[in-house]
Amino acid sequence: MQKADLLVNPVKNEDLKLAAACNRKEKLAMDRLYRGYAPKILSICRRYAANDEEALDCLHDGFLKVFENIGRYEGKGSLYAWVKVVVVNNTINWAKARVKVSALDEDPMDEPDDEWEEPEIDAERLIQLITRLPEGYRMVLNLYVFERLSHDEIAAKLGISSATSRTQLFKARKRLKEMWKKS
Amino acid sequence: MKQDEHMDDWMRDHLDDHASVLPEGGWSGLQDGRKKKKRKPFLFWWLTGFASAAAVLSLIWIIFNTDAPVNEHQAEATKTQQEVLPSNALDVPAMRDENGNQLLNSSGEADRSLTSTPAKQKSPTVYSEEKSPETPLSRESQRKPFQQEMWISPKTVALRELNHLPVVELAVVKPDHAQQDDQNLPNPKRESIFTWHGAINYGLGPLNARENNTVSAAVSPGNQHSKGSEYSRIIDKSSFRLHRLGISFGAGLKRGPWAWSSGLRLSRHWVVSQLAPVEVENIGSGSGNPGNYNSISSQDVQQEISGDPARFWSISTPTQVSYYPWKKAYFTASAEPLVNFGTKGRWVIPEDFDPHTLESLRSELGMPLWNLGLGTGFGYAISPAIHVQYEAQFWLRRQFQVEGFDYRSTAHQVKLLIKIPGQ
Repeated sequence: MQKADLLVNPVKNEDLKLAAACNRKEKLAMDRLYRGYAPKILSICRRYAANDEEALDCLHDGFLKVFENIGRYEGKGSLYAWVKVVVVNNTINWAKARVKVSALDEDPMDEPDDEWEEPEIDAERLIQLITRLPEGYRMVLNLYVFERLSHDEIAAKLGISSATSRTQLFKARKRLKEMWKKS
Repeated sequence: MKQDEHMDDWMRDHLDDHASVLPEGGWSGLQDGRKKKKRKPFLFWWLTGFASAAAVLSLIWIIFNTDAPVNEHQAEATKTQQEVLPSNALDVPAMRDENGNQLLNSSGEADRSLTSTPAKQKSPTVYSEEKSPETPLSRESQRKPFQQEMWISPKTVALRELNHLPVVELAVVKPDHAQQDDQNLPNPKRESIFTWHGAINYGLGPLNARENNTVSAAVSPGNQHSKGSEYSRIIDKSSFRLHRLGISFGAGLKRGPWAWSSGLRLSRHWVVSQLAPVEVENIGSGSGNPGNYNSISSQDVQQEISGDPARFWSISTPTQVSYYPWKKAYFTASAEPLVNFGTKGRWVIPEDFDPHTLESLRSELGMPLWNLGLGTGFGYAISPAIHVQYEAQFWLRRQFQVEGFDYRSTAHQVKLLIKIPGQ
C-alpha cells in the first residue's frame, strides 16, 4: 500500500492530530498533508483547468484555503474528504469566474450519437482530452460526472438554466467521443 | 441514456482515484514557485510606479524650468530706479561707505564693483524678531530723517543693504494704515491668490495606518520642489526647493481593498535653494502713480541663496484614501491642508546676496499662508508598520493677511515701512 493511500484512508484520530498540527502551522505536518493528498487533488484541478500551469495555481490556492480553514475540521468524515470538498469548492469558484456566459449557450441538442464503445485510453490521456474541452463544456461535465451534481444544482451554481446545463453536457460528451475516436 | 451513464461511469472509474505527479519540492516548493510567479506583476508595478514617478518629476522639472513668456509688463519694465522711486528714496546721506565712496550710481543702481567685496566690516543683516523686539511703529519716534512709509520695491531694499545703509527695517504696518496709502491697491486682507506647487514626497508615511483599524505615528520626510505659477510666474518667477521632515500621528481604517487614513502632521521646512530667476518689479509709490505697481524690470537674477536658509514650521492634516489592488501595494489619493507658521525673521542676508528674490522678503515678513495639497501616489507596505510611498502633490496656495504683517499677497507688492535712522 502506498503512502498516499494510507493518508487517504486514515484513522480519524490521526486525521484530527494531523489537522491540529497543520492548524498550529507545523511545517512538517503541512507538508505531510500536502504530499499525501495533493496528487489526487491535482488530478481534480487538472480536470477543471485549461493547462498544467492553471492546475498548479488551482492546487496552490486550494491548499491555501485548506490550511487557512483547517481549524474547522471536526473529524466528521475523513480528512481527505474534507480537503477534497474545500479544494473542489474553491476550484469551482475559481473556474466559475472564468467561464464565459457565451460559452454556455443553449443551442438545440443534436440527435443522440451512435452506440458508445469504451475507448482504449488511460486516465492521463482522458484528463488531457477533458482539458481540451471548451471551458463551459468542461465545467458542466466535471460538475455532473465527477461531483455528481444534478442539472438543477449545476444551474444554480453557475447561474444558468438547467436546459443550458443539459446542452453543455451533451455537447461535452459528443466532443469527447469525437476526440477519443481520433486519438 | 444508458450509454451516457455508462460513459460517465467509465470516466469516474478512470479518474476518481487518479493521482497526478506533483512537482518537486512539496508544499514549500509549490509556495515558493507561486510566490515567484506572483512577484512578476509586483515587479512590473514597481517599475511602472517608478516610471510614473520619474515622469511626474520630469514634468514638474520641465514646468519649473520653462521661462515664462515675455508679457507686456516686461516690455515696459525698463524703468530705472530713479524713474519709479521717489527722489528721496535714493537721496540719502548714507549712500557712501566709510571711505566716502559713492555706492549708488547715477541711475540708482548699486555699484557692484564696490559692493561685491566681501564686507567683513559688517556682518550680514539679520532680520529677526529677536533683533527688533519692539514693533517698528513703536520706534517711529526714535527714527529720524528718512521716515517714509511707502510702497517700495525689494530692489530698493536691496540697494540700501548693499550700500550698507545702517538699517533698513521691514515694518509691521497695520492693514488699516496700509490702505490709506493707496486705494487702488487691493485690500490685503481680502486678497488672495491661488498658485500651484508641485511636490514629490517620498519615504515613510504620511500615515501608515492602513492595516485595518489602527492608530499610528509616522515620520514623513519629503523633498519639495516649489514653483509659483500663474501670477508669480509672470511677475517674479519665484521658485525654491525645500526639504521637509515631518512627524505625523493618525488613524486609519481599512475595509476590503479600500483604506482611509487621516492625521496631524507637524513639519519643519528648510529652504535649501532658491532657483528662481527673479524679475524685480519697480513700484512707483514715490511718483504717486499706482499704475507702476505692475511694472517690472527685465532683470533675471538666478541665484543660490547661501547662508542661513529660511526655515519654517507647518502643520497639516493629511487625509488619504488608498486602494489596494494587491495585498501590499496600493494607489493613493490625498488631500493635505497646510498652514505655515513661524516664518518671521531668520533670514540671513549675506553681503553678496542680491535680495531681489522676493521669496526672501516673504520669509522676512513671514509667510502667512495656507496651502491645500492634492496628491496622488503609489505605495508599498513593506510591513504593516512601514510603508514606502511616492507621492506627487500639487498645492493650491492661498495667501492671506495675518494681523501684524502687512503682506500683500500679490507677492511683489510688499508694503514696507522703510526707516533709516538719522545720521
